Amino acid sequence: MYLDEIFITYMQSCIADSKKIRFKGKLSTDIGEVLPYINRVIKNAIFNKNIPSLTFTKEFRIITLYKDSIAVSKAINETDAYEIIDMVKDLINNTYNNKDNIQPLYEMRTKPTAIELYNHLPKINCKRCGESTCMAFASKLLMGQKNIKKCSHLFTTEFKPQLERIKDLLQMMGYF
Amino acid sequence: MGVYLDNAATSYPKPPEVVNGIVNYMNNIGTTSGRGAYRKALEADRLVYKTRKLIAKLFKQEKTSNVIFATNATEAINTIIKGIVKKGDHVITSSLEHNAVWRCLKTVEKEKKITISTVPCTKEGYTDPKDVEKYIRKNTSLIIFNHASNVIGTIQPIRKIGEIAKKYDIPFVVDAAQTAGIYPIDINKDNIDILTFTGHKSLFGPTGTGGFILNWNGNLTPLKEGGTGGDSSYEYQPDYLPNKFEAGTLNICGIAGLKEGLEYILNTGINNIFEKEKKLIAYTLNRLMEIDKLTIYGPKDPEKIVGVVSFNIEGLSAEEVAYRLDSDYGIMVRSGLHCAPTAHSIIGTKNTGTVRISIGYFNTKKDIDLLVNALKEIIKLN
Repeated sequence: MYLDEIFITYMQSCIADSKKIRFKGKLSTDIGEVLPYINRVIKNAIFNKNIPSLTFTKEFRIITLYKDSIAVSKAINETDAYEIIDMVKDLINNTYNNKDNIQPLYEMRTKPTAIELYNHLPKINCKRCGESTCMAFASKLLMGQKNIKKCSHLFTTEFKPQLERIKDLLQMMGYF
Repeated sequence: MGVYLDNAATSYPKPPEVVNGIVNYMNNIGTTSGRGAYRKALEADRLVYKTRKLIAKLFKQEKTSNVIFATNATEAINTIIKGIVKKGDHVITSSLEHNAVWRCLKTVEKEKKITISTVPCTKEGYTDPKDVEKYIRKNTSLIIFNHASNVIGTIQPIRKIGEIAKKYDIPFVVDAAQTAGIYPIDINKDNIDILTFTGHKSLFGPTGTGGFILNWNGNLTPLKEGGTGGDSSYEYQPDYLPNKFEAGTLNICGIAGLKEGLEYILNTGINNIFEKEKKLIAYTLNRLMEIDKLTIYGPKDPEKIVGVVSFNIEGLSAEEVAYRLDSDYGIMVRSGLHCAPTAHSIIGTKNTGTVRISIGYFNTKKDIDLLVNALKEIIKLN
């Protein structure tokens, strides 16, 4: 078998929705070479070849694959987490076994925009993050040049839902 | 170690892998599932998930999260009956139920003023599925049947009964305590809405394991509420599976053993287990029929029963036979009513009980020979 195991290494409640969990896992094989093939197979995946990472959804769940790890948010519970792991493992192994018949795709089909990120920021231009405006901060977030933690407002109770949404968008970009 | 012929109570011995699985969990994992963010807790989660998945695979259920653990089949049955049946409802059941079903129904009858119809069967325990249809009423909210009797072993026509239940959109629950692990069950093809199982009989797990598989979208209220590990700030029981029905810490030690039992069954092949047991049942019936003064109850047909055979010996009480088999020959069998008084009413032994032998996967022809020789000697000395 190409990929033998995915070990869950971290599991925690989602920040905004305590009814859901997020988790991370380690892959027993480096699957970097397979990601462009999976990008072809999954029609709505977001592939970031610089990292590389591939993000896709399964209903409401957001799944990001890196070359040797996985991050998932909005899973229902532990059972759901392991069901996702099994599904992803099958996806990777099936894609690998069939890769001679698949044209790899290195493009990013769609990606979140700076405006989308900006919409969830406090929009008060406080400059505490080191940028002159929230829009500038959004652009840097999108390029992976700033860490979300630099915006301290987002980590207050008031902005919990916005933080969760930004984290989802960043996960789609492979940054989280 | 003697000859163990009480596998319908619990299977013994267990495959060595089961014992090793439990020891490995206790020594090397030892944590609870769903309640920790550290590696060992995640290992416990993984173990529980894998066990769920094996159960789903064995009974052909697609959704792993629909496999619910309970402490035993009785708890699972209580959850289902009390979670479905409402005040004034009507329930249909077989004439051969174990007290796990029967006492639960009788209690609900008293508390919720429900009515119960028991579908008649022959002395051999055969139920005509068409009879089930005759008992359906407008307020029938549940049909619950055991898959095989724990007294005479008769296998019930569950697929056909399930078909009737489907036609009337009534949930059909099967108590597979005596069949899970030795008889091939396909939850969809067999038209089962909810299957209850015990882990410690033919699934080779330790006692304290069991549960049910939900294959039904109706409303089922949990029997208990409590901690589920996640979403702790929410004040009510979560509505997602399996957590909805699994309040409190799971018996992970038991589940670790059950996992190995399930793997043993899947590796051996359930059809191979079924065929092996059937051959030994046929041999047992033939050898018991050699004995004068011995009356066998039930079908006396290896195609119609699981490895449970009840009998009595003329001039000897069931208790005396069981006692002498144990004390003089080291042969372990059960006597009495076996927690199923209605089944004994059917075969006419409610006042006397029976001697029950129950064959497991690890029994051999030699065990049966020792039993038959012992019985012959007991009769001779009487």
